This record gives sequence, C-alpha cells and structure tokens, in this order.
Amino acid sequence: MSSDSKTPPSGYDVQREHMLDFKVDQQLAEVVESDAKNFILTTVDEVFNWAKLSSIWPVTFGLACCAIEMMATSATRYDMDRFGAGAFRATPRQADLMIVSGTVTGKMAQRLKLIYDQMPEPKWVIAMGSCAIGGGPYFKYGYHVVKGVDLLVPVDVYVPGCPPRPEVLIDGLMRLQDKIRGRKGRFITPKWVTDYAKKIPYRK
Amino acid sequence: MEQKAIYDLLAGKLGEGAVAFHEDGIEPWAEIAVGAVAEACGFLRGEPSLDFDQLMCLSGIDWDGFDEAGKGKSVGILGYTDEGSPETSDRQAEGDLGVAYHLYSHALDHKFTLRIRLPRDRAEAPTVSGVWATASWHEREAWDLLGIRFTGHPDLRRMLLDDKWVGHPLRKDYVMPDRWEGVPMDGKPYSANPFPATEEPPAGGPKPDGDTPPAEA
Amino acid sequence: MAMDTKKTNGWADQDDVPEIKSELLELNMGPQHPATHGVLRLLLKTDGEIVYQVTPVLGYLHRCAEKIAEGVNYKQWVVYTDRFDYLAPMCCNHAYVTAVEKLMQQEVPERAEHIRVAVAELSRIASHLIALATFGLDMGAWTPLLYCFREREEILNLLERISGGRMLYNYMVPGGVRYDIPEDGWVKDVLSFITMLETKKIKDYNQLLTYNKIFIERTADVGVISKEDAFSYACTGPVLRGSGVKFDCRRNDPYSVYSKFDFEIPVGLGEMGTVGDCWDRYMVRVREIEQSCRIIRQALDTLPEGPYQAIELHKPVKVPAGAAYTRTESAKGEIGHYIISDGGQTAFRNKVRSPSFCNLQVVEKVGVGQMVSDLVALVGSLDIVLGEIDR
Ligand code: SF4
Repeated sequence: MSSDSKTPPSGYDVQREHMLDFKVDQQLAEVVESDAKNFILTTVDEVFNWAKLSSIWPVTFGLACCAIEMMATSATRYDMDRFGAGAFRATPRQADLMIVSGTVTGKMAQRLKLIYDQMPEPKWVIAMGSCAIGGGPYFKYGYHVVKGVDLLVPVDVYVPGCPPRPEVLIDGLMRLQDKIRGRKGRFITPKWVTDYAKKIPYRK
Repeated sequence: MEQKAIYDLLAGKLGEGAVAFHEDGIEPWAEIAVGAVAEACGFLRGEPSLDFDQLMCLSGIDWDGFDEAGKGKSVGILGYTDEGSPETSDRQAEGDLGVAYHLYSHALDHKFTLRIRLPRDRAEAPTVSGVWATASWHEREAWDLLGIRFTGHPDLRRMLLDDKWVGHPLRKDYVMPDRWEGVPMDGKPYSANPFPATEEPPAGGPKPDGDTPPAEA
Repeated sequence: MAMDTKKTNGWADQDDVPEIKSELLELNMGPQHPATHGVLRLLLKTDGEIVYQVTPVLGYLHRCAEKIAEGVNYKQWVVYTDRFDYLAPMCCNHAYVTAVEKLMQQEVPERAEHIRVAVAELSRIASHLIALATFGLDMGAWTPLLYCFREREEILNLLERISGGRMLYNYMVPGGVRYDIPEDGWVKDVLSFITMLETKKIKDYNQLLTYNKIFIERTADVGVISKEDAFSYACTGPVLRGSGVKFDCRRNDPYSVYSKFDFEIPVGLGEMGTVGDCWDRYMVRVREIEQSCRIIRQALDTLPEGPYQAIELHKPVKVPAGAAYTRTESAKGEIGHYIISDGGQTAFRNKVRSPSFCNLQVVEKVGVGQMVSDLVALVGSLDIVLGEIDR
C-alpha cells in the first residue's frame, strides 16, 4: 500500500488496511533467516490423492432419465463444480469418472465397455439409479436390459433412487472422495432428518 | 365424413378385398384382405374426397392366445424369474398376427382404422411406405419386434434391436435371452469378463452394426 | 458422382467456384456424443462438410416397455409412461390414463381433470425450458442453460409438493389423480410463479437467445421442413406447427377439459427466414410457454370443489374388451396409445406412437445437403427425447 499522502481519503478504513497487511516481506525474511524452517510433513500419496479427489472430471455419459438429474446436479442450483467434479468431458480420454446414469441396454453394453476401456487410469465408476444398480423397474420383462452395470465394469459407489435426487448424487460423489482419500465411507443420518421423517403425515 | 361412408367408398373400390366393417365397440374398424392393403391405402390417400394425408400409427399385433370371449383369460407372457433365469413353457404358438393402420386427414378432419390379419406361418404384408413416408420406420419396428415381413420395403432392417438379435420379442411365446453376444442379460452374478481378450475392439471406433448402408442414389 | 447439394450461403453461392468433389467420408455421430441429446447414433456420409446421407441408428435405450405392458396391470404401467418422455412425465401420464379411461368409458371428476391439466402444462413448460436450454447449448450458448434450469427447478419443486416425486411422478391413475392439491398455498405459488415467468423470464430468454444475432444466423433458414414433408413424415407438435400448420390435439381433437379453455396455437411465421426453419420451431416453443401459462391460470382459477378420484386407489382397474387408439398432445407432439384389451387387468397389446420417433425420421430427408454443424441445429430443434423413441 503506497503511503505518499499522510491523510487517507474519506471513507477509507484504516483498520481494514491493517487487517489486509499480511506483512509478507517480514515473514519471508523470518523464514529465510531464522533456523526454524517452515515445512509441512506429508506423504506423496496423500498429496496425490488430495489432487485426485479435488478434480474428478466425469465423462459426459448420459443414458436415460437419470442423466437429466445428473445435468440438474451440474446446473444452477446444485452446482457439482463445488466438489471439483463439474467439468464434464466429452471424450473419455480426459476423464476420471464415469457416472453411469441410466439403463444399460444390450446394444449399449459394448459401447459402455469400450468407453470405460478408453479412460486412463486411475478411473472410477458411479452407478446412478436403480437401473444401473440392478435393472430397476425393467428386471422382470426387460429382455434388452442389462441387470446392473457391475456385470460389465467394476463399480465404486452405488447411488440408489429412481431417479436419485441431486443431493444423493452429490453424497455419492463425496463417498467416492472418501474412498480416494483412503477412508471408509460413512453415512450417519442427521438427527433432524429422522425427526422430520417422523413428522411427514401418511397420505391416503 | 362418417367412417361407414368411408368404408362404403372403399368397399366399392376394392370389391372382394374389403372383408367387413365392425361398428360395435368404441372405435369402428374395417377389416380388409392382406393383398388389398397397398391398393386401399393408395386409394385412401389419393382420393380427393378422403385425402388421408397422415398415417398416425401403424401397430403390429400378435393374436396368439387372445381370449375372444373378453374374460381376460389370455395367455400370459414369459419373463425372468426372481433369480434372473428365463422362464420357459412348452405351449405352441397359435393364432394369427395382425397389423392395424390408423389414418387421419388434416384437410378434412376425419379418421379411419384399417386392420389386416396375417397367417402365422406366412406373416407378410405389402408395404405402404410409398404412400406415407412415416410408415417406413413403423414397419421396420413391426418387423423387428413381431417378425412381420413387409414386402417391397426399401430397407427392411431391424429398428431397435441389433441386427444380430435372435427372435422377435413382442411375440407372446418369446423366451427371454440369458446371454447375448457375451453381454449378460440375466440377473445372475457374473464373474468372468464378458468380453474376452481375444475380442479386440474394432480399430477406429465401433463399426456400424453390420448394417449395409443403402445403395447410393 | 453427382452431388445434389442445396446451395447454402457463403462460398457455394458464387458460380465461378469450381465444384470440388471429394471422397465420401463415413462419420459416426454418437451414441455417446454431447449434441445428440442422449444415446442417438447418426451414421453420416459426408462430402467434406456437406452431409450426403443420414441414417439414424436407434435402440440404444430400448427398454422393452411395450412388452412390460403385456405383463403388468394397467395401474402399474403408469410408472413406465413416466419414463418415456422423462422431460415431461405428466403429459405422458395424462396420455395414458386418458387412453385407459376412454376404453373403460370412465367419467373423471371435474376437479381431477383441472388438476391434471395444470400439472401437465407445468410439465410442458419444464420440457420446453430444457428444449430451449439444450438447443442453445448445441448452438454454443452456455448461459441460457443456467437460466432455464433455474426456472425448471422451481417447477420441479411445485410438482414435488403435489405428487411427492421430484422428476418422475406416477401421479395420475385411471379415474383421477393420486393426491389432492396440498393445503399449503400451492395454487397461490403456482400462480405467482407463472406470473413471474410471463412477465420477466421469457423476456430474459428472448434477450439472451431468441434475438441474439449469432443465434439467428445459426438457425434461420436452416433445416427447413416443408408442410408436405411434415405431413408425409407424420410430424406433430412444435415441429408441425413450426412448419406453419395450425394443428394441436388439445384444440382439434379435444380431450380432458381443454375445450373449456381459451388459448392460441402459435405457428411458425418465417420471421427470420423461411417458414419451417429451426428458428421457427424454437420460437413456437417460446410462445407455447406463454400459452401454457394462460391455460394453467384458467384451470386453477376455475378449480371446482369435489372428489379427485372416481375409482378407489386400492381397487384394481378392469378394462372391458375392445381396442381404441387415443391421441393427446404431449410436449413433443402427438402421443398415441393403441390399447387392445381382452377384458382383464392387463393390456393384451399396447402400442405407443411416440412423437419423437416420428419427428426424428424427417432428418433422413431434410438433413441431406446440410453442413454437419447445421445437422446439429436440425436435430436440436426437433427436441427429441430418446426414452420415447426407443421405448
Ligand atoms: S433408475 Fe429410474 S430414473 Fe434412472 S434411468 Fe432407471 S428408470 Fe430412469
């Protein structure tokens, strides 16, 4: 901050200037000159995992109704970009995550496998919706429906629902981040949810 | 125009080809002989006092096991069991196949329904895709799902299923597949890789599904 | 070989440019392609940038719904109609229950019909909003998507409050609707939402996209569907109306209580180019949003009191023997159900004539001679949804 004029202009918050002055030069001098060197202890793995989980780029792979909810998740209200997973790539070669959003049919299965194979390692798969998990409503008479995408490719996270709400997909994404971080996924139902569920009246 | 009047005009044109007109029920319909379909449709489209310029719908029907008495006792279809294996039965398929045409005229605002019945062992009907262009895809779908062959169709391939698919699924005696081209279709847990390593993916992306592109004009 | 390409604007207009012919190139567009609105696959043969032949390959989302209709009962199948046109599920529900009621000759309470019309029109608005958004996206405009999704979320909230589902509702049953209107001011919220849409938001879209110079350049005079083609290929809905034909099942073949309401049928006028081009089809959708708002307002203003179900929910539905084809107007066009009943609780055959299936076929004819990038505009302006094409 230049300090040529002694009196600050009206409305200028001097307090704020102190707050914004990080004294970088002083700090730098301290670090360089003193014996107490600043460093962070970590492992290469942890850094890499942190980088991976903060930028999971999904491949644009909308199959059916669930794809619309996937679009809604990345659009205005839910904004999946907050979790680093909003950059939908049109080519599998730039993507880390395949969100299988919808019904996998016999004709599509070979294409799906091909796209999965084209993705570079490391790669993850989220099975979104009951169709991708196990055939969903098309189990009994679905002669052209694959009963679960895990019969074709390995799945990391299952997101149930028909279609899953965007919140659930985001939760699935966070579970995937937990998994990449090397922690166990956990889901504790918040108390307000159970309380609220009790209050919902039964409608005839 | 009233449907009965339309039928009378049509019967006058076709003669033997017009079989009957059913007026009872919610939707009256005319039954005509298989051989007369192309002529009938050409007439309904071309005659200025009828002018059916739109084919609303073309549906193939499998009448196998239909309960004529109207008691709801028709033969049920086969599905997968809860474990995921296909159900089977030894019943022999019988009864005819059929096609229904629903026509509409934008200019004159009237509708008409035609139906034909085809014997099961010779399910063939003349195409009407020359009359209404939209019939082309509907007929391909009927061929795909029901196995009704439309003679004279320019490009009768499967529409929804793959060219290598076996059987016609909307037939009442269709047995569900368990594997198709290595893809597991039943809900059984599957451990082996459905695409063996010897099966290289074709170079340069997926090939067209074995379908030959139509000859160049 | 002779290329019979339609001369488009640009260098092709000049006569002294020698016609350069190159080898025909086969190009595969889809099934995993961002501009095909799902898993549609287009097999193209191109001469340079000019499309020589288009062959749509369908079936990547064939989910056997017609087979399922022969296995489950009438009420259970309402669930699957939701999944045809998952952008406007209420319209599909409405089409199916109308068809079943026609066969049953079932009277529906007036209140139920009013609620059905209101929710179906809300659903239609939501679907048209997505159509505008994705069409803009195809043309390279990202921002309208954010705007349109914002309003769509509002509609989904409203529909969730009445039906319990966010996107797929299973709300209508033969003989009425599943739940009555909730007593927390739903009607008031809907009215205030559509007022906001009419007065403010549509102006926003027009400013952002409709009268945007780049957008007009990309869409006007592109992909012209003539009236004759539209009839021959049985196009319906905004595609038919975009070609200048004033036809709407809600008016010309009235079902439900639509005959009571006063609304206009917008048609393509060729304001920016030729009648029946992509811009016209787009504009028809924008104007239909306004008309849907009008219908909703009338339906809710004259909402009668009384029951909302004619058949009790737990009772099975039995349909007398017979066959009938019923057509209704969904967001994409005319959706028809041809139901053959044998008198039981399950349909013997249920053929679905889906509007997108018939509308898409027209690209085989109109797509020829276009640039590849214009083909994207054409497919985008048809507003197809694959769940309905493949069923
Ligand atoms: S799970 Fe439900 S919403 Fe998702 S694709 Fe399947 S049917 Fe559609």
